Amino acid sequence: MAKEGGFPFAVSVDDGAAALQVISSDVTNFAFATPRGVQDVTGVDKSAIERLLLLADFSVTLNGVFNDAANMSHAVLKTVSSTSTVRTVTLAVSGQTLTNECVFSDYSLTRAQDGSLVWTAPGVLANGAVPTWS
Amino acid sequence: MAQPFRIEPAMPVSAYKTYAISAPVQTHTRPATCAESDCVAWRNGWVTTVDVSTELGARQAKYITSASGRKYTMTEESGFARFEFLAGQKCFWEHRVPLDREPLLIVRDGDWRGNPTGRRRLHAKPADWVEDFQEHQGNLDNQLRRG
Repeated sequence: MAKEGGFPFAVSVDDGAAALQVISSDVTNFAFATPRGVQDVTGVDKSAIERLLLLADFSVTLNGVFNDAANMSHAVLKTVSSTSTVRTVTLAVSGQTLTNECVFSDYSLTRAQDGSLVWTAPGVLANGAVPTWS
Repeated sequence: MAQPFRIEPAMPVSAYKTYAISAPVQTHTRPATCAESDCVAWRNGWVTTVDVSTELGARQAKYITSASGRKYTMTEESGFARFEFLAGQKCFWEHRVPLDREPLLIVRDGDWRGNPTGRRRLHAKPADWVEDFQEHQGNLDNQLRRG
């Protein structure tokens, strides 16, 4: 397992040219939101097909600190607003890898109160398949 | 912080569960020198150009000339002041480097909209967090296959 920035995980995201880049050392936080399961999504207004589709619902939020070095977070994510592309996102932790095909909807930069420049990049699953670990 | 633009989730917040790994800057990094960060500005020197016709630019120029304590050569052109700093000086960026500290391995209810139940679990080991996530995704995959 790659280890970058002192943290025991590796996050990689496709850049605008679909080349996977390791940006772990820029990432301070990431979160994957996933459905709880069938029993929780079953509603009277939902059809069975909808329920099945929703099982594959998945979103990702990456947060990090600005870095404009080659192939790092800014170089990878700056094309989110101008390029409609499906990007591979991989997370490697403890020898296991989770691979997702995602569409990012934003790359938002913010100047924090302490003067640091931080970013947020939210994305959703693009291909409808439940992301599984390998 | 303002929320970025997101695709609205298909289900209510109570239908989601979040797996997160967090290494907040405040708790998982420390301030570092330019040398520790292998700062390009420190290594090669840098140029700062400010528009002295604006209030901000004037304040920046005043800071550089009277309070920054750095060595520079200044040239002026068309209302802009160009400060050229020699290599080996602390740049204007606040560098930080990671501490050798495990990130927070979080499993909680809800998604980015909130945690409706307040349930939140911290794993001690990355392998345990992965196993929890694996089992959850495996269950979803099984349910999807069963239809």
